[in-house]
Amino acid sequence: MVKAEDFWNYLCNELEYRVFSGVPCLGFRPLYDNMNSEIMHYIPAVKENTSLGIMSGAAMSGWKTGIFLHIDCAYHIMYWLEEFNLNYNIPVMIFIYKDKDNKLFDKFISLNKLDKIELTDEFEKQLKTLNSKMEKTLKPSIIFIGEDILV
Amino acid sequence: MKRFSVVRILLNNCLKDNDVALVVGEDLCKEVFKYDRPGNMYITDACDIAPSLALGIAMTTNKRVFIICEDHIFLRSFSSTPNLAVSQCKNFFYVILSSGRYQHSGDQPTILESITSLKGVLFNLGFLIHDYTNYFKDTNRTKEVEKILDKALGPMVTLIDVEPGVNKNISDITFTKEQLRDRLFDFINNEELGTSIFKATTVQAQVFDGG
Repeated sequence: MVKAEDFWNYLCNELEYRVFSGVPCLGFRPLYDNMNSEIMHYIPAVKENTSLGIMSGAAMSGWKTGIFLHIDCAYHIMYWLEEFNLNYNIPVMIFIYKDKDNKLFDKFISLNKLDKIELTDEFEKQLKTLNSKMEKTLKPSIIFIGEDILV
Repeated sequence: MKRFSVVRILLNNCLKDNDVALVVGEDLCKEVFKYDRPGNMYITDACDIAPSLALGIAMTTNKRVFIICEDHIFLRSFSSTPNLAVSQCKNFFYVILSSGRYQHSGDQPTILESITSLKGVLFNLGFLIHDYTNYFKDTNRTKEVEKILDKALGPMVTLIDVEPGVNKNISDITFTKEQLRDRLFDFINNEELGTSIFKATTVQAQVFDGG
């Protein structure tokens, strides 16, 4: 179990992620309920590729950014990740609520050799490692968040 | 006026040295590259993502951000338009060069002219609309565009109708994508350049706010 408040505090205060975007997903409800406008900005997007675009723009200005989406909508960003983020080397942390498998997206991750983790109770250590990897590779990274992980 | 003349005037005369310009579409990028400046970013593929990318940049800098594209790119990326309109980013300017054709693939028509009221749609979404078509019909009047843009605030859509026709004397972009990214990063974070965003006086601000 990961407390949503602790998750935000670590991500925003320790790792200095400040700007986020995404399309609402029921699985992330604990995160929405615990957003704190003093430490972060959240831009609701109309579509997953719009949120990826906005966050990639912010990343180009030097900000650390993340997007939130459901596993079913992952295919909306696959083309743009390949055509834009991986071509220009623009890192964005991608949080995906995973309540089912998506073989196509799994294949996409392995083909493009993207770093990924499945969030557990040791989320601080996991996020820190992934963040430092992303700073070196400048590739987007994937964080899968399973059912009942967030409270 | 043809597209290459419009972009020449826009890039050389209307944009300030500290403005960011995102140019979208392969042919347009090559035309604009002739007038390259450090604040230019060229997006030759992944064009649909460009407007939201420009918004992301505008949100995180105080410099004016111009996205310059053709009408077919605007239509392709229409799903992100509501997000741009409601952003309230005063430094976001969306320049649409409208020829009503897919000039890169043999002049097939776009659906832009069939939209009953494009300006109405964009205005109701939340954009300020400027149509500079008439200014660009007469080269003597293009200086007026510079003056208007100096005092303009976003989020704004600038419509310019261009005559069909492309410049055949164009060169390839010599920067790699990573070089372009790094150049833009340095440009955005160079605070010495300052910003050209219009700062209204108290009285003007009251008028803008309806006060």
